[in-house]
Amino acid sequence: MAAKIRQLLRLYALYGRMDWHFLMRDKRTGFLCVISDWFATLSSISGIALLAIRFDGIGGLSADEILWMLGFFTLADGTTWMLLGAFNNLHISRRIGRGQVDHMLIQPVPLWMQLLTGGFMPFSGNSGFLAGVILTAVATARLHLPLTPGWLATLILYLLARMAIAAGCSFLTGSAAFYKPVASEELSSVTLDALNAAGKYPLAALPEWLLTVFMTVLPVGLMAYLPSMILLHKIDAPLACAWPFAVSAAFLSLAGWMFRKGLKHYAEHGCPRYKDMGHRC
Amino acid sequence: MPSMAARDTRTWDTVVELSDVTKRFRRLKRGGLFHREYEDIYALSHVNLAVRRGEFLAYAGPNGAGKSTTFKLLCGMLAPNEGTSRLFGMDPIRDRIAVMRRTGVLFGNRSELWWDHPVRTSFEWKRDVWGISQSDYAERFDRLVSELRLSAFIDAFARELSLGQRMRANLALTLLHNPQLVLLDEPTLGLDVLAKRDLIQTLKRINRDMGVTLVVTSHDMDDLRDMASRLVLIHKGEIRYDGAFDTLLSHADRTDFEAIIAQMYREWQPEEEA
Repeated sequence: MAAKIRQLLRLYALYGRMDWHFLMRDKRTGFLCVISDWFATLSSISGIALLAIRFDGIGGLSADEILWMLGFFTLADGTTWMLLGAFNNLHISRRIGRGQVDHMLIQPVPLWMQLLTGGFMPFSGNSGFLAGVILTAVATARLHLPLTPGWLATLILYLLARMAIAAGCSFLTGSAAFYKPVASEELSSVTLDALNAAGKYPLAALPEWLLTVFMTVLPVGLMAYLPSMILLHKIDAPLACAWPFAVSAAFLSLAGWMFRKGLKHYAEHGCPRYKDMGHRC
Repeated sequence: MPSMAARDTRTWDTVVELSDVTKRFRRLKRGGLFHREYEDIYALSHVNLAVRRGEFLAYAGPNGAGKSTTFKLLCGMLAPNEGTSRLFGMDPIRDRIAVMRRTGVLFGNRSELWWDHPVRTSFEWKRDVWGISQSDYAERFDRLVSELRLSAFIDAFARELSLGQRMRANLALTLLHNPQLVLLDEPTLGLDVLAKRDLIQTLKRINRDMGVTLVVTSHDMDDLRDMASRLVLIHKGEIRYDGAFDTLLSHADRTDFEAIIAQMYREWQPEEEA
């Protein structure tokens, strides 16, 4: 176990170092890349933020509460991207569909460890994370939320659950690329885009049946809405508070099962195509 | 032609062992809206192959003969439908990590280099992923850079390399962890004469001096003959010849080795020739 943790840390350090060198090698381009990432991140949430400010809140939440929810969303999405985003580690259907799993199979490292560390980009991919920290901090201050260690620990737990749901969904749908590599190559991206596009909105006004769908099979409501309602003390029912963890456990288990099943299929049938696009570049 | 029977070389120090291995793929023959027809393609059919420690094996055959499928089976990327494949006595799928610590793999049309980093970074990446000690790394890195003449572009970005330079860098990267078995699929692809000579000399040296077992595929029969001591010819998933190069030559009435092989390929696929 200790050896595994050492190996994990060594790989994180390696990919972090490589990311730093990548950014520093051409400083001007690297700087532009980071700045444009900031713009992209902020513009993706600006529409909802402006609507909330113009109408003094939407969906039963005040403008500051909407800002907090967007901060949570950006922080969770940015952290997921920073930890797993590079080289299509998160958009796993691209790797599978392009026949690039072969490159992983020839490394003497467990696949789960490669998937956990290979997408780490703490410098070139941190804009969402930093923007999320700033937005959440500003909104927390404006809402005068009590910054207790317990509350911060709860925030981190909900962030982890949300990240696990997003990654689980990506791997769950992305595993289809083991069977249909061409048709399913972009499934992970489509899944993540769908979750992120709808996951920024407050969902209180939705009919109950749609809300149920968005809290279960299409977990859009768990991307930011439900965790925000819990952390802003607007919902305190035990079932609701435990729900994101239950869903994240379910999606991770299902995704793990589908991925292993897909790998078995891969070993039996192989991948009929190989494209190096996105492989280590 | 000489006897085409596969040699039985199973010994205690057998590095590669394929026992009665069959690998078939299902291919769409005719597709319609309501009805689809599939056919079974046999990439390998009841193949028996054993490679002893320290052997240098040339694995050749026409396009689509089953060479890459064999390599993928040996690397644990594919599982056989029938039979067993073993590397160092281990199952390449179940014992993937242990097998890959001892094996170096290079597919000619694929690169293990990091595209947007200097070539040197790919070596440092491999050092950390494979857990190579700093002293071993320094010694091997210097040796490989010198032998494969990488010094001129070791700090260049991988994306800036020519095909030949990339191939040499990839080969050096494959050898960095001192593998006991090296599987090379078309390693001389795209290399100029000088680079090819260097590569062949390097492969012969690691085979001779370090006892590394090598299995190499190529369509260039003269290269294979220059490198390897044993030739296995495969066609349509079946081993058609397994023996020494000289034996093949002694049974033929020609001296041009490539012409002999071409003649054999023609005899194997008369319908395609027609």
